[in-house]
Amino acid sequence: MRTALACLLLLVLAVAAAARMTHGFSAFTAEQARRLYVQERQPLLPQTRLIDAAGNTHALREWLQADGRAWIVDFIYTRCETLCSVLGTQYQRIQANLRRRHLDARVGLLTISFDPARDDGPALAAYARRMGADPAIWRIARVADPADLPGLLRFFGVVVIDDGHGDFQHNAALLWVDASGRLSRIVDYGDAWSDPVLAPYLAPTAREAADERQP
Amino acid sequence: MSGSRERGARIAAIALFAALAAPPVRALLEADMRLHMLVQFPLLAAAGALAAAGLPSGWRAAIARWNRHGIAGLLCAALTSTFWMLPKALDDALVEPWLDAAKFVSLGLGVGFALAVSWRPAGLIGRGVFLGNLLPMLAVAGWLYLAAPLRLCNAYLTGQQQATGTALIAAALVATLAWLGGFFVGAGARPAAPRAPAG
Repeated sequence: MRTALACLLLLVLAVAAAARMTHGFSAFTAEQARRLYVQERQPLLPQTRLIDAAGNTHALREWLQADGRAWIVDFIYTRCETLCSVLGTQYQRIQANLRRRHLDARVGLLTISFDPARDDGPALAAYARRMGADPAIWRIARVADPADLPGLLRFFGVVVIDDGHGDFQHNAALLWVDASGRLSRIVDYGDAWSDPVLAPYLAPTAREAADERQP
Repeated sequence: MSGSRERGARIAAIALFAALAAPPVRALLEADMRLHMLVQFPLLAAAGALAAAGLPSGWRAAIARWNRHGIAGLLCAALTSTFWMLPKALDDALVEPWLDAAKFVSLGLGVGFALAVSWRPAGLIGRGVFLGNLLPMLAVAGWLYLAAPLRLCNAYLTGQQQATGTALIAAALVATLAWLGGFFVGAGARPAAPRAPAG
């Protein structure tokens, strides 16, 4: 009767709406949706102007396409004492691994600051020194024009919220850019060692991976 | 006649809806996750309920033909509430104005209005099934928000997410106690008399 029909219509409508919202029940959070999009569409990097720790200006896509390497990109701010310092430690390990296994011709590391106001040239240079970053393997940069930052963050799916106490809360992930300058994968920093694409370039043992994971 | 009371309810519904939709109010309520889910959502439902109270009796009868025992309305309310608990739905509504508008309309009509026209016709069993599903779901959603190791919504800080989770669990608990308490205190405590079909 009519009530049963109404119920059926409501169910169909609800399932359709939920399916559309979650991309076929695969993305319940905006973050999941972003990762799915990146894996499927593999968007080309923008040509955002960046300034590295040495003060040289580069266009992002060109800079990363130049030598046929793939790149692991992360976003930090140098004053961060929590999440970003873990990312920094990870990058140190990855750099050491790339060097030890002679993979540095195939993969490079890029760290971009999302706090260009306070992470100026000297601050980035100090960070690079502190991390022991080898400029041939690990590049550190900030956006040349702060107005470009929101677009760049949006492209990479990085959400930064000023927590009102001078620090930022942000999602933390490793962003894989392939050799042709396309963003093709977003991996949580804790999952990187078990990720099929990234793992071959990172620390070799499962033991090291377990140590890195947050409790 | 009851015409003026209904007109009053309609005016109140429109006023509440307009107040909630006003940009400064929207911004205020959507800035904090707790306010968003536990103040804006229920107020939108309340506006829908007021609209239902303002319905002319002819309309009520027409709706009731598609809503025997309030089943369709309760189902609608359950489905709509569940949809807006999805973290992605909250995030997307904050970014896309048309989705926010859809949220306003669906919470008002799909939850508030639907519950208002379905509660009385539903009877003990209908209400029992509805609450017995929705309240645990609310508590589980709250627990997920509280316990999830990551931020579920891009737009809200983890502290807010956890506070919202706690508040959702508390709300579910309070609602459950109120519902069950109704069986032991007051009208609910008397044995149920056979009811004539309510309008």
